[in-house]
Amino acid sequence: MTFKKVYSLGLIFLLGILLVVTFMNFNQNNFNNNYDLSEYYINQGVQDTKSINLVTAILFDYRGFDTLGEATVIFIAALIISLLTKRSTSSLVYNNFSPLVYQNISFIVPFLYIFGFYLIFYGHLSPGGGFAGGVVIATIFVLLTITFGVRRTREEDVLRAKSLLENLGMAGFVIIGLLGMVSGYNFLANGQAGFYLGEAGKLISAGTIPWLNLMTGIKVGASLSIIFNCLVREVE
Amino acid sequence: MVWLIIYPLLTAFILGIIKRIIADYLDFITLSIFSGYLLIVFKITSSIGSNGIEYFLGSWEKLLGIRLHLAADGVFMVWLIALLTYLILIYCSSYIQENKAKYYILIYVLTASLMGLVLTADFFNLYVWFEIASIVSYSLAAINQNRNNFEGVLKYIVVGSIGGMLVLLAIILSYKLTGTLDLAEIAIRSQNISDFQQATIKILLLVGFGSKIALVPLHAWLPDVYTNANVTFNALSSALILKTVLYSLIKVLHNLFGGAFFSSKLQIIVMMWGVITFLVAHLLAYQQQNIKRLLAYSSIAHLGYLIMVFSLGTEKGLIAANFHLLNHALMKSALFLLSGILSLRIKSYLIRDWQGLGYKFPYSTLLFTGVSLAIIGLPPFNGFVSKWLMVQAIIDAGYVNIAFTILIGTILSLVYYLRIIKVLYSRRKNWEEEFDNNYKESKRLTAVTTVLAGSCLVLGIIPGPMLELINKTISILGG
Amino acid sequence: MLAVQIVIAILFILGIYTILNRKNVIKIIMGINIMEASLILFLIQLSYKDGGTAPILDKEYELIVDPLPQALALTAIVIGASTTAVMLFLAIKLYKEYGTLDISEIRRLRG
Repeated sequence: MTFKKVYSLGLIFLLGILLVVTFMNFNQNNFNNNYDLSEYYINQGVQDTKSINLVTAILFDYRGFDTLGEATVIFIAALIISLLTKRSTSSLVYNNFSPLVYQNISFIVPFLYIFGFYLIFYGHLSPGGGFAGGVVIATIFVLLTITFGVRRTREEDVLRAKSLLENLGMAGFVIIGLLGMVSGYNFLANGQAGFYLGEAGKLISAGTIPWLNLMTGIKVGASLSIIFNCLVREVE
Repeated sequence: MVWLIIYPLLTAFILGIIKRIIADYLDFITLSIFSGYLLIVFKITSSIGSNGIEYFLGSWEKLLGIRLHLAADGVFMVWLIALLTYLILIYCSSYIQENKAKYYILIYVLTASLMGLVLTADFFNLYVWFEIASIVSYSLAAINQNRNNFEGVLKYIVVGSIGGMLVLLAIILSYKLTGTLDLAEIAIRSQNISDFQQATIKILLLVGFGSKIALVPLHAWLPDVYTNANVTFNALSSALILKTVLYSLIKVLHNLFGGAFFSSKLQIIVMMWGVITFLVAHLLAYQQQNIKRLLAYSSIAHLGYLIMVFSLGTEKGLIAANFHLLNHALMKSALFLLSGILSLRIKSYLIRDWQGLGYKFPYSTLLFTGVSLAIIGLPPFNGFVSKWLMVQAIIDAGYVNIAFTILIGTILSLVYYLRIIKVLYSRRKNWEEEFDNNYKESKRLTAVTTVLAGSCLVLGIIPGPMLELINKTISILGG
Repeated sequence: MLAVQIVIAILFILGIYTILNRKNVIKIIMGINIMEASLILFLIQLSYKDGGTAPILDKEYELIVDPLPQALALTAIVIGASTTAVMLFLAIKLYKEYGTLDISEIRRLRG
């Protein structure tokens, strides 16, 4: 037993040294002038997309296809988790907190909604975007579930609605991408297809980016709250 | 061309919205939508020129956005994926009983992700599709609700995530070196990088993808998952997911490092890896009592053959490997689907319970016997042709000893497949109480397996046209 | 730069060590997440430039960090989070079946 432990420790230590040597080797020939792609994004990105947040510009415009893919990953995760959860009919889960908790949560929920949608709609102007905003919206459902419990009778309907929203968000993403094809350009085309880019720094600008952000936000919020609900149901 | 990916994706999402409304016509609608997909595949692949088609997502010029590239050799994979998925979908429509709509959604997303793996010419986009294919296969594997299953799937996810991370590390390192993510551009810029760096990227890719295609030290998840999963998942995974992942590995290596992507030292290591993989897998398959587990080990062995022949890098090797890829996809999906039919009545996958099934299911057993003979590599079936070509390619490259190991592998597989055939056709006394005699063979299941097994025989008798086709695509690739 | 890379290497092998040597399913999942975190740190290290500001061009700037690895990091995080969710779900399922999270126990129970 101890021999095996020493053996694996030694092996892993060797692996670590190999990794550091590899990194050092890769540091050596640093072709500094070679990062022309990121230089382009920094210099031309705002003109191209009118989105001040370059990470959002890359995520939803230059490499929007990757984003479709990663949204699909969450979609599949939520689908399989909700499929494998047992349709339980246990009674109402009820936690006893002090009234302070209930009051505070009720007070904070509208602000969380505003914050989540702010993150989504200002994704191209400030840090944030569809994924972060969607996570904030999902936390609202998490908070509500933890404090007020789950009403079993309504849970099926709520899950059904959330799954509908999720599918709508995904389909909306693809359909916005298809709009670019309708106007004669390629899938997920934004500025080239003549969408209103507007002026950089304004709320209504950057063409399809805010809409894609909105779709992703809806989708991520719905998916994550489905995952949370199913995990909670499975734990009981 | 992007329709090849977004059509199944959009279908999956829309099926998610309307699945309750169309519940009664679900089979009909999904199958007819997939027929439309075949039309799209036909339209796109018929218009392909000698340089393939390029597609720039978001209309960004080269390098800025993501590029899709359907090369001439990709056409073969695209057709294989589309047709086999269609056949398996027909089989599912009769075989799957519960959660049908979600099963269809998963299969549609799987089709999209496999197409993405074949089409994409962007390194990071490849990783995204790779991960989608992985998470869909975890889901399809976990869909059978039994407790042994979850254990196997958890193993699968742990191995799969580590493999995915190694691929991601390779992508990050190549971005660090070249500052771009486009495969063709990385190849241009990475010509002057050192051997050590090239070898690092190659090994990371090989181990990362190798965990997904179950090369031997990383194979432990595959038999566990296959034993407890649904046969349709086994057919999809063995015939399509593993093959497409292997194809995309070869594509990436070919794009990044040119035709001779392995230096001679690395080539020998990879070939030995393949040899060890198929020898170990054949030996393990010999001991199995469960038919699915046996077929799983047989799949691992054939992936060993494939990686060995692909690593030759010669034109002959590529042709042989592509032909064997097609043949193995057909044979293994036929075997899995037939074992699904045979076990419908007996409800068991243990070989000893299959005693005497040859007299109860004469037709399916006949097909099973035929395809088993094909997978061993006996004439007049397709397995013989492709094994012959592989041996030839290996001998031409100068590895006579390794060609000899293929013969040993063939003899091993002969032994264990003949054992099943013998059990199937041996008499048994007390079977009446165990069988459910009212069960009738479904027409759709029989039709699908007949098509698959028939194509094995046809490709064995007249392999000429298919080899011509593969030869054409490969020579375009070389030139 | 090297210091950060040594940290990345340590995190990476720490993750592998956890996966190989721990028996608890949750700890194995944590090991995978630690490995993933190391790769995300690597992406961030790749985009880092001395004195650079965040790639949001709403005010005056001199030097901007590379935005592309940050976008890739976001994608990698989302994919990792989804896989983790599925793994945790399976861990819950296994716990309900076997009453333990110890993988050696789970294998023994299977018999």
